[in-house]
Amino acid sequence: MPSLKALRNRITSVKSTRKITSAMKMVSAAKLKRSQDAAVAARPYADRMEALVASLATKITGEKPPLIKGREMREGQSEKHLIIVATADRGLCGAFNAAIIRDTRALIKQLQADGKTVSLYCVGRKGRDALRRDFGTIMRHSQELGNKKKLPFADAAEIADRARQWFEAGEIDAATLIYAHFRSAIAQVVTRQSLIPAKIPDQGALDAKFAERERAHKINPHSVGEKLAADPPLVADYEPDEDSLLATMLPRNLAVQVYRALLENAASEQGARMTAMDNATRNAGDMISRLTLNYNRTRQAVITKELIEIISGAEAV
Amino acid sequence: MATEPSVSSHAASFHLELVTPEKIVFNRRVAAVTLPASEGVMQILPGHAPVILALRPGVVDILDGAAKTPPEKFFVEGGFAEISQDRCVLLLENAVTTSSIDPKSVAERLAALPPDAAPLSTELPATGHWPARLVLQAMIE
Repeated sequence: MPSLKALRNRITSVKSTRKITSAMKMVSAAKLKRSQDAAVAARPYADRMEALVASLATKITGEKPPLIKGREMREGQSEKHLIIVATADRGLCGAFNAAIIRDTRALIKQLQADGKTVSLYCVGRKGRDALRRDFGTIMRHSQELGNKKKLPFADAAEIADRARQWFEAGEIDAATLIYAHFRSAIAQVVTRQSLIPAKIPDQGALDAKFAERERAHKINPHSVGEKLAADPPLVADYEPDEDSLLATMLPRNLAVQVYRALLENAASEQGARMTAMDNATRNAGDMISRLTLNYNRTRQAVITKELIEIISGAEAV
Repeated sequence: MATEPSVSSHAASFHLELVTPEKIVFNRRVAAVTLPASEGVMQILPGHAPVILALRPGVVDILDGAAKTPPEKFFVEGGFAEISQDRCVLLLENAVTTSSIDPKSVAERLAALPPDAAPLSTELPATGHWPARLVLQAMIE
């Protein structure tokens, strides 16, 4: 049995751990709110862009641009696939980073089994650190997100531009983005999104989404931006023509997709951290009560033992 | 400028929205707006025919209708405009009020750019970006 002093020390140490985890929980709750707001603020632009690209893509007369169509592979040529992995810069957020990394490994294995050449682009320190060990040779580029209060759009645009330049230079033929989709503070879903070729939603999917927004708007009519984003675009004239409009719009659309994914990822990270820290705080509380019980029992046992010693000593005299 | 009976009640104004990826910059009913369209500056009045435009770097000039407020001006680095019966939505990468631009610092940034031998093309860029020089020159104007 540990001594009383040792028990006391352990209780103090667990108590200070609990203080830290509960502070971290509150910090990430505040940050979660902020990143959710950012994700909502980015929505009108992304929705509008998506609807425009979708309606343009159905109208163009010429051949589809390669960013939508993808590149056709000749016989005996192996497709070069880029995986953009979005993780967090920091740990202590439960299985958040681990889940994304696990999915990335699975995708790499799967693509390599199909005979494709894979390269990696890690956004976020944790993903780079974990994947560097096994896949250091195929890591094309990596960057940290940095400690910014708000993710600037320019950062996402830079990532998208890099991928697009590689695509145009023929260094890659396809790109997939892996990030954690934010469902709620306790549920984040690791998602693979195809960036090149771009996934263009068809009219049916868009209509369903707009109908959903329309319902949400009826519940909360104050969200003007959402309401306005809800109407599908009218049939209209185009200036300049559809093909060149679409050609300028697609790189922008790529950046928007990356931006949206990174915002989702940031919200997921904070959600995961909040849940993890909440659990840690609760575990620390449990541990403290167990240790306190143990401490009190030991203290009583010591007193009883001393009493017995005194009494048996007196009897012996 | 044909106005249909259904919109005639609002014929004096239409809804203008300036949307950037980070937030909605402007969202109000206005009387008119002047856009730097890719094929030339154009003014949008209520009841304009539906059209989708690409925008050059330039100034979006908003006329409020109410004479009290001075016209608002935003500098944009290019983007897209979607105009329908009663609404005009501008999708912009970036929008700043012209009053917040400091001409001196823009001139410095322009001077710091590497000299570019190729003549500036005013065609729509395939990269989706307008060249930095073009943006900064437009900013000075």
